Amino acid sequence: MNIKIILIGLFCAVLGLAAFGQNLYQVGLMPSVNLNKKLDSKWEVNVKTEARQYFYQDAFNEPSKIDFQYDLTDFSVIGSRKVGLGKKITGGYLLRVSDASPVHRFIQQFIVTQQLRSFRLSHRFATDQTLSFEEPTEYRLRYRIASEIPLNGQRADLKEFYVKVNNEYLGSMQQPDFYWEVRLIPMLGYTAFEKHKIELGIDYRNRSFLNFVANRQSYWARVNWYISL
Amino acid sequence: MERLLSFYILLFIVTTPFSFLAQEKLEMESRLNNEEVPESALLYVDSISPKNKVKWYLDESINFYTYEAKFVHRSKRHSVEFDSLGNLQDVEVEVEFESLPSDACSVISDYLKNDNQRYKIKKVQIQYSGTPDAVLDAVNDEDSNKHFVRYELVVKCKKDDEVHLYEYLFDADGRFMSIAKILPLKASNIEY
Repeated sequence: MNIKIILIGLFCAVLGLAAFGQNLYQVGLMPSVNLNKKLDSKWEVNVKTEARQYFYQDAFNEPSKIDFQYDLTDFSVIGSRKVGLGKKITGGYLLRVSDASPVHRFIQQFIVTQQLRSFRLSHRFATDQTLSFEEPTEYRLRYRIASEIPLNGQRADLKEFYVKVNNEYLGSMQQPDFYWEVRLIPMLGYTAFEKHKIELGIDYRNRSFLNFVANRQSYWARVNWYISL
Repeated sequence: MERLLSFYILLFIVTTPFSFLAQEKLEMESRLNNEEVPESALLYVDSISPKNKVKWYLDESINFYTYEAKFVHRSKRHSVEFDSLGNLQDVEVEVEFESLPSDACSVISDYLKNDNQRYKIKKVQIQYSGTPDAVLDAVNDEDSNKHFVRYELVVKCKKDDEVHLYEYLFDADGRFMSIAKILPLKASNIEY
């Protein structure tokens, strides 16, 4: 498989989507730490923290200014139960802390992971409900496909690099609004130790992509650190 | 943001010792160019005359390493394994379960039924071993009784109400030889 063609294709796709729309865009940094602990043969717990720091937040067609601004931090705990080979049902809670009042999110997911001949695929079907004192409850429906493609051999071994590509489709309903969002996240990963993986990449998010009137586009430089305890 | 950075640094300090204390299982597989493969192994695979591209891999464990050639020959996936000196170990050919001799099929099916609450065969490989010439004859469907045949099956099994993948090995008559659980790779980075 020609990785260069895949990466160039993804880059063009991100730029192509970005060409539509004239509205708000955001650029920032989104580091995350993700701890996964196996409790027994069926149960696992995942604890994650993720922060957002803006570099730019502006409208298209207007001169941009560098604007470093802390946005928010998420803390989440998700419990999962294995329900078959490569299949999991999960449920969890996320707390979002920012300058505004705290936001609470309840998460339910069904995850299917497949080991194919030379790469891995994961399908995630999710719903969540976001509650806060200031806004109506937001209901979201999500589907994400994630792939891990080793850059050497047929699996990403210790001390080896891999390419990870996430593509997510998300529908959100928060009275009276409804929007669709698409996310494309190409990343370069490295298995630093048996239990540590580091990933760097771009997280591109486009709202209202279906009618090509982007009311918000976001570009996040992502740094993911996965730890298996 | 500074507090967050401090948190990440603290987390790194707290969790990193776990990785060093854990006994790392060194099993690695990497692609090789033809120039990195022993000549005897290259010549042997050439003698099979595969029309499709041959991909070479190095499989490394703590104490030893092997070379493996993978290619499609006569519409079947072949895997040829050599030791570190380039001596043939075996040739595996992926086939359909139904294409195995019917007697062996029947014995294997009975064994799997008794050994599992439920099962589904995911992959079947015929394993040829013996002298290089005898294995070559077997791979080319020529009459040869000087090689050894084993059947390697990857099976999704439900045992004790838990579902896992297992690798079974059966002899030419379908008699059970060994079983090993296939441990899944950590997947939290594509799940969360």
